[in-house]
Amino acid sequence: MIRFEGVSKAFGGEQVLERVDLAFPKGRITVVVGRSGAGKSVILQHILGFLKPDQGTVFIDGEDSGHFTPQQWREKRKKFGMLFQNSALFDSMSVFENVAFPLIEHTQKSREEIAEIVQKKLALVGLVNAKHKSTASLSGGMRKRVALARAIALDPQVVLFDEPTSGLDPIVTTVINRLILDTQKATGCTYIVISHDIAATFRIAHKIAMLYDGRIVIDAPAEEVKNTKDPLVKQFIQGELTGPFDVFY
Amino acid sequence: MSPEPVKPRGFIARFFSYLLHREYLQFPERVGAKGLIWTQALGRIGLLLIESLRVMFLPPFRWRLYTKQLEFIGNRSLTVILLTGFAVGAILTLQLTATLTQFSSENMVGGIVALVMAKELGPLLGGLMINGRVASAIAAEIGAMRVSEQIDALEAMSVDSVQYLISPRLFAGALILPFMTLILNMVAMLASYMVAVHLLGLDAGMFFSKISDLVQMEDLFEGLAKSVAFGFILTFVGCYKGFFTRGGAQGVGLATTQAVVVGSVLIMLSDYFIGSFMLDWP
Repeated sequence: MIRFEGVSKAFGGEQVLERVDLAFPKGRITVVVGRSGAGKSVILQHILGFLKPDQGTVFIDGEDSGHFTPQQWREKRKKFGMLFQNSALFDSMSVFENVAFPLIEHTQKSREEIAEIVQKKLALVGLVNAKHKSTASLSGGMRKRVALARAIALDPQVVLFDEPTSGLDPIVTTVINRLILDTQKATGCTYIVISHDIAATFRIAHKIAMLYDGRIVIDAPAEEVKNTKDPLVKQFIQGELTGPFDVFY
Repeated sequence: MSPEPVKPRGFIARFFSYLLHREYLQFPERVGAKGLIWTQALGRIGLLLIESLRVMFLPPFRWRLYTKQLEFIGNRSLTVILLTGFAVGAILTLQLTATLTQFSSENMVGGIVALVMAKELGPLLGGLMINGRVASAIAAEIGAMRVSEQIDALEAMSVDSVQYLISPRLFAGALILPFMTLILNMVAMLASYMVAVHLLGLDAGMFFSKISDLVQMEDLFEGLAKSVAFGFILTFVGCYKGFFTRGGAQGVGLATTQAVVVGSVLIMLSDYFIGSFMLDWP
């Protein structure tokens, strides 16, 4: 279980997170929504230990991550899988090599065992036939699927997604959403998704938190968020121009 | 919103504008800001250098990455090294012979070319040519990895990005440059022999005897020591520029150019200092 307690973070003079209290329950899909530049990705960077809070604490498995040494962070990160916004596949490697990479780095498994696991993970995302392809020749949707296969290669306890459906067409978006649901169901992992795609969020989320002006304005089960009367959340969900949001266009 | 002030063109106009708008009052502030940027950069360079050397000797040892870099920096630079060595050896011999003939000392040419190549031109030209090819490629590759979040992906997968990306390149650069310098020197001497003996008709025996008279093993080792330093410098500059790339494709382009320019300047500066340190005055 990952928990933020009173976490604040500022860059320069700009307050990105302000006393954020947020919990990511084990084995559930939590989606953090908010406008572009609201600081959603900063939450993921705190979970991975790339950033340290100015104030407050990030608890990972009940431990205060502020006291982790770089070595302890490396050990913790082995329990995480991460799908980056632009997939971040290694372009010097093939699809197979990308998915095999964490297994080669962190396990003592034989070539045959690794090949078997990669095959299974690629089957899970429907890309068995593309395993020898270069990543440069893949479409945006395929890249996301390879990145997902790589993120779950080590059977992590927590998988983090940074805008998994951004820049994808509606059909591929549905495919990725289905994959997120299916792989979560199959693995039972904790999924933490950062998104501003409301339709996709309601399809996959068990719990939704919304970030606005550095603060969490709602943190509730998906159904409750859908029926909220909060004008700020309502405006964001419905994408309306009038309301409490500052809209410049 | 007030319009952007128009900057005066030309040196004199700028000078008067400088006085008129009391811009000189901002001078200490600007110096301070630049100083902070330089201090920050120096700190980053020092930390990256220490970290990349420290993790080089820690497991896991990824031998495949080391051999890949040796192949990239060494084997793929072979053509440029062969061409450079041949051209420099031939040109140097031709020009020197023309000058030495005026003093009836043309038989010294083999020895002088060998000495200059072993101590100075071999490592320097080898370093500069490989810098042009390798430092830019390293900066572009690591810079592209930085802007496309591949380095973050490595860290997110618990892989030490410095150990994975930088240490093998530094090791390979420092190890392979002396070998490349030796090859360059050999080709240069071959070209020198062909021009001096076969083209200009000098005596082959004198050519070789002057080499053994003028060149000592220490001279060769001085050149090789320089090339170890150049190999380390050019790979480190490429890695540093790539690792701290910011700002997308434009940032990658800038890092690539800067890597070559900074690498070349540092190689020449360090050549002078290493040379003066090792110089044996008669």
